[in-house]
Amino acid sequence: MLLATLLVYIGFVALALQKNRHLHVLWPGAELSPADRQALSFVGWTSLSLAAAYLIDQRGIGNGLVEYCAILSGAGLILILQFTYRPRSVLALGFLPSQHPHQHRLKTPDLHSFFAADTMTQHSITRTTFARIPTRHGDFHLYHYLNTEDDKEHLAFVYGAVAGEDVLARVHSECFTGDVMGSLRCDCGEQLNRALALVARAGRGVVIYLRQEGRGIGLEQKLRAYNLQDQGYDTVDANLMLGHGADERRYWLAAAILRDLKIKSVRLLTNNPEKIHALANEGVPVTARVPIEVGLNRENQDYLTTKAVRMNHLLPGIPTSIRRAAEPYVEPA
Amino acid sequence: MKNGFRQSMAWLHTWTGLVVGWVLFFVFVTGNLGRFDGEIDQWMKPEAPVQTASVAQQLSAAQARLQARAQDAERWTVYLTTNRDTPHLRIRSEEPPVNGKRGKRTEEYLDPATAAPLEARATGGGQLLYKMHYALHYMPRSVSDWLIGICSMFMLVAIVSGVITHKKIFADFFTFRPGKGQRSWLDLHAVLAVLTLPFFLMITYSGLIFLVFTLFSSILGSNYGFGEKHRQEFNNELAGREDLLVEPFGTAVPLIDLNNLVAVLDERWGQNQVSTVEVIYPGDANARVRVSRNMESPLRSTDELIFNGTTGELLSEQPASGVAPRNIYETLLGLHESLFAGWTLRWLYFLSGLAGAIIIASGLILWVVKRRPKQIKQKSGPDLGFRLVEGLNVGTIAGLHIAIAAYFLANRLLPLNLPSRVDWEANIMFSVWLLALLYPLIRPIARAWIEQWTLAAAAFLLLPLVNALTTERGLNQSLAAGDWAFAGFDLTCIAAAGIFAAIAIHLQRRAKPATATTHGVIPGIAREANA
Repeated sequence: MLLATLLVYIGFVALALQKNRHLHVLWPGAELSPADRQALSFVGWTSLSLAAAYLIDQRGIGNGLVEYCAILSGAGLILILQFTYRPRSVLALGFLPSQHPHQHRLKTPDLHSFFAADTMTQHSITRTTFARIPTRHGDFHLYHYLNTEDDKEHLAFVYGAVAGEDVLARVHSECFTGDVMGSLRCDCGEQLNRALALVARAGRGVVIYLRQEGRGIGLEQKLRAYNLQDQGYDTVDANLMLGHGADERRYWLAAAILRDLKIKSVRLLTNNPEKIHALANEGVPVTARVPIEVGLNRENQDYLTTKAVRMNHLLPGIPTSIRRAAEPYVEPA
Repeated sequence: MKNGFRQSMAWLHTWTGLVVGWVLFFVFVTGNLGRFDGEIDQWMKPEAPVQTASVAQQLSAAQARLQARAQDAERWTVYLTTNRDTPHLRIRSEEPPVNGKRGKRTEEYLDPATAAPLEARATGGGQLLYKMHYALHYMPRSVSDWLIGICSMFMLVAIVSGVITHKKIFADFFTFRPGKGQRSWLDLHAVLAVLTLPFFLMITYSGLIFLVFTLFSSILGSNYGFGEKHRQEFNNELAGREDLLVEPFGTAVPLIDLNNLVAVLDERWGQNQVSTVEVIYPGDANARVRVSRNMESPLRSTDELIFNGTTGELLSEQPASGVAPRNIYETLLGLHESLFAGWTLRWLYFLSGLAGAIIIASGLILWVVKRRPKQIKQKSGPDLGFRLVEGLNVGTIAGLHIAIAAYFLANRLLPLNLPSRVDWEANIMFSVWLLALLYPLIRPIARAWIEQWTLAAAAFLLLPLVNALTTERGLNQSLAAGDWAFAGFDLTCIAAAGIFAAIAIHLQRRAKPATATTHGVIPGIAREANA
């Protein structure tokens, strides 16, 4: 039974690694050629079939097939738990490293650091490259990162020599509609521009650009939420109705990028107290908050009010007469 | 109904699952405990150690007892302690049918050394708990069979529509995203269901097959006539047991000594391979003895030998495997019952059943999580239906465990001479469950969850303690003596208590209001600054 379990497990690992989502947990940024995928597929299905054949041979068709199904469930469950909570243990359990795709960034599994790793900090980032980007505010450098959690390219827009304490920093989450198209539904684009200007004026600083569109729910879902907002729901309820949290953003990546840039502590450009707590929890001291309140318009007035009242954002510019309309949002138990 | 195939299926999945979800949860939890019914039986009869008497001695004792008290019965069955399902020698007698209805059945446990009834407390044991999963309680089989049949049918519909609804069955095969509210519940629901799909489908479909002759009684009735006698006739014919298709002769001829058959059986099958010995028309000239072998594969039918009950002559031998349709039927039933499974496979069965219970529970919870944001915003408060579902969820998903613990506690704490003690064990279980179901009426739902999980944890933690105090087979003794039925039961209780406590603590942490941030004041930040 043990041999069959091992075969099923190896088969599942091979099949799972065909998917970038799982592959990149172990080898960030790795690319698979169609031949690689075929090889993985072959290894996967062969081991699964071998396990079945072995069990039927050893235990007879009846018992063999029953045990096979039970092993499929069990091995699958173990692998899912590993990918979710301890991805690197997939390697530690002895999956053939020779199987790995042609990738130079592969580090051999480091057992010590794995067992020492805390579940939340086990993911890591890798800086790939950076380049000079001149803007109307001055010369920035754009740093490009890959990470083990998702397939996205997270960025840091750096001005001046940032290593050190009390660096002015903005942790900005992607908003295609606001940042690029100048949508008036939100204040994202204006905040981004303001942040770049303030950082340049301060002489040094960083704008971290996290690819968590729409407070972490993605562009498609954000657009659906906009439709709900047009029916009268606010930004929090719209997200909840689509089955998302009010705010699904996470900030470990920001903390990791700040560490990579050797920034010891930050003065954070934000109105969002959650963001301050989140960064502090990830081990980045926030020595001060710098408000970044921008224009109120007819389109974003409701949105900003919701942020102020239901999400505790610090927006003294919102008149109290508007605030009363909304009630605070408390995370349901 | 909604437009589009997938939406229709999603609608079907949601509502078929919701309507019968709580019954199915009960069925899954009690049925899953039935995987260890023999061990639970042992725990609930702490006075009666596992018997080790030889097959011959057991047969002598059983025959003596049956001849003394069930001479007029039409059928005797002796269940021997040669497999884990039967820790104590058990006999059953069945009177001749009256007006086409099955005759009265009487069951008894025996002490093989004295041929007297086993001296142990009256208890429903693991058997009763196991029986509840298909016969429920407080109702005749004619009602429960239909209830369970309909619920299983809904379940099958929910499984099939669930598979169709699941858009990313392969893409999300290995994916679980925790900490994301509804998305995580959906992941949990889907991932477990996909992983255990073969088990889930098998257990539901085969469960229905058990009831096939009740749900479609006309299949048999049109050819054999209705009633128990005709069903027996059909079964015997199906299994090719022509030698059992006899009528009583009417002349009294004494039955052979059953233990005279042991030599023949040992020679054919090897020692201790017999599971049951059935005698038809004991004391009649046409008496027959049917001996069945222990099961060794999912095929539930086993090798059988049929003897003449007055001469001991071997009349015929039935191999376990027969015609293909019967093999399929018997394999499905065998897969469901898992009597063939050794320890490893038995635990895997148990874990699959646990996954099944979690799938059902998470489905029920999803229904609530999805509707909560809209419901709590309503001016008049949440709808009655919504609150009903919330309450049933707490009272069943958490409360049923308290009730089961109460059943076990009742076994230890009720006075040993209490009349109808067996009934009281079950009465206590269902009273506790009823209280758990009513509890959300007087408490906010979030608190009710935390309190019921806490209570469940406490009750299960109490079980090993009470066991140690009321018997000589507490955990320290059972571990030292290698008494694995007892040690296993107590350790499983502790593990269950641990899981329930973890859930309660997790919910308690989440229930604490998010750190209050009043406007302008942020704890931990010394100053506001300007760029």
